[in-house]
Amino acid sequence: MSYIQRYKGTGASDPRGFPYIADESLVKAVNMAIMLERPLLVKGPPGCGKTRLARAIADELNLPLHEWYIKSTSRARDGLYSIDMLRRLNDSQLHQNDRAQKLLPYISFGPLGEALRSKVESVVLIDEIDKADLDFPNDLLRELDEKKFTIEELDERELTPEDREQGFAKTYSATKSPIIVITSNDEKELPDAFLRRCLFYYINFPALEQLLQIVKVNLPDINLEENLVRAAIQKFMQFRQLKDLRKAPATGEMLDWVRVLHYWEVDSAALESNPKLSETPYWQVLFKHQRDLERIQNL
Amino acid sequence: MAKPLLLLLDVFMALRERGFELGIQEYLIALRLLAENELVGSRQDLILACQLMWAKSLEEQQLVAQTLEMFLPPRLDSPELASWLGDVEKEKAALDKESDQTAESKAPDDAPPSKPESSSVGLGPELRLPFELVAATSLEDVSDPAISPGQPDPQDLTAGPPDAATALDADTVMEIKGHFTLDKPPEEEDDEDKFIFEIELPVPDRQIRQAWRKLRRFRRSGPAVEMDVEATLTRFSKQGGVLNPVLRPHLRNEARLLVLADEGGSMLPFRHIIQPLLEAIRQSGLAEVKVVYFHNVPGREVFTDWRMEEVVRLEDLVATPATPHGILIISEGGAARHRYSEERLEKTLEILTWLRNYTPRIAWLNPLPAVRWPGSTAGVLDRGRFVPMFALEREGLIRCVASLQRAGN
Repeated sequence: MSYIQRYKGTGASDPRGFPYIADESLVKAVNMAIMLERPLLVKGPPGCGKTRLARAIADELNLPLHEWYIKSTSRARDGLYSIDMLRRLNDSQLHQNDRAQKLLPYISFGPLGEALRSKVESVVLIDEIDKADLDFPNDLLRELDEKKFTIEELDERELTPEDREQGFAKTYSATKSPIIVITSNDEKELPDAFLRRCLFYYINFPALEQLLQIVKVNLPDINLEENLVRAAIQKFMQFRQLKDLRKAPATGEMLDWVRVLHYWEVDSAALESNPKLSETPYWQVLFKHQRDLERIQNL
Repeated sequence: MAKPLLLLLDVFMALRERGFELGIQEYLIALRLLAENELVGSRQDLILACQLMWAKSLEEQQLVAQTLEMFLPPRLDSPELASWLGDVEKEKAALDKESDQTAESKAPDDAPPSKPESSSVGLGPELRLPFELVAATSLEDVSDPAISPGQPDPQDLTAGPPDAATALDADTVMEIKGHFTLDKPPEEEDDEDKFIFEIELPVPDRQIRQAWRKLRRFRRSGPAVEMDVEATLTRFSKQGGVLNPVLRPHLRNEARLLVLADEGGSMLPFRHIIQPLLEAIRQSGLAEVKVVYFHNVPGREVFTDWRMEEVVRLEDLVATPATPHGILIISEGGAARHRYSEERLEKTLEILTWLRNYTPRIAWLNPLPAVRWPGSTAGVLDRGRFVPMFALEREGLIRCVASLQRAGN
């Protein structure tokens, strides 16, 4: 039985595609996750592209993307569905409106729910799952395992044949397993039962050549001089290697800095010549903490 | 040579022994993945696949890679594996002719998988070890550059004649028996430390954090954002309708923990496990974790740093309003050297009684297992039930946290 590798990580080279650089093992990992129909849990330092991976996969495979950005207040159920009880309560107080008789009009589906309901394959992004409460991932176990969910509050008897025709039901089961990408910042520990169901991948911070690609791909409309970009990236790596930084500069800051250097027409020689980090032109763009700024000033 | 099916089983059991929580499902998935030749075509892929499925953190990934290296022979020969992986590389065939460990002989071109006797499956040029190494050492002393995803391929050891590579060059990482590895992020290119040292804690880091998350003191604080259903319904019944639902703030865990850690002397050997333990406790989501140090017996004055230079009064730390919700004492209590000291016992009891004026929630964590306590000061403290004492192991930690959570309720 041969399995075709679906995701090829070519987003970057395709001009219509979403600019995303994926290295070979990440491509392999994505394909393994798709094949095994298990969620892919990605971790890595900030700015390494965890969140954008889902978008890149959706773009390349031409599938709809459902995004679920987790907050500390998120509850598992909300990703599947939510019921506007308050509106129903309000409606029920208006005697002429008997819409409130049925629960169905007040149900709306969350990103994961939409994906599991849909008849087509899709990609689901669950972003920063570690922000939520400890029990949150455990509440999703069955849904992640069996790819189905049930609306507990719905009484099956209220569903008319028209409703069913429109695709409503009490239990939804995915016909095509969605590709689920979960990202985590590693702030909190995730429960073991949840981790067991995921495939785990760690995305490293990009290396120099990759950073070069990232710049080219993210700033396509600017005519960048290659020497300048190279010199800038090398300085950037030097900054990153400093110990004890409150927040080490990441790809976002790097792109901002390259833009600044370009618009202010800084010469690449100016970047290469100065060994002292604090004399690098416009280096302050890279840092977001006063403590880090002071530290580098004193270097 | 072990057949590949059993090979993975060895790796799987070895990982379980090292504390990985893997079940049958995980093993079956691995087999399923391997059956896909397209996806797993080389040794690198095999390692990646195992890391994907079995490792749940960066440290675990390195462990998986190492364990695989230990068990995977440099060349796997088996018709089963050949048919599974379906890959025989031409260069491998030529090189296999030179280094002849086993009795196989190979034809110069690919041996097709259907030939059962002489198919030696190459798994990628990066695996080949120098001929002398393979001859001289047993499988467990195998050295190979560490493989982790995202790194470029380890150096191609097949470049050049085999005997030129006898001396292990600077880029090779040695595996020390007893599994010591030093954690290092993969993007750092450090030429000096090629030894990977890893602290093997009696309780894995993740379990410590999960255990301490159970120390909870929930309180509602912050902006009122959550709907209080009961209060809303009450308002509804009083007003005959609801215009504004009643809101309340979220529950937050406001647990505060004070740790009194014994430092120096008999506790010296335990420092390398106590520090990660404290770090894990700090990261387990408690509102506040304060650590202070003492030597042998906590007194009215303790130190804020492990070098014991800065003094602070214990009373300031436990008096209201900042009374901690739990006090954890970490000390071997004489068990390390099997010593009982009446003076130490008395002083300890005195400080415990004094602390109980402020809070009854005190627990004692002993790095040594319970079998070592009898006959020492710690043993008396435990037998006499002067303080709940727990050993530093998974169950001990869970019971310790439960005891702190429950105490005084």
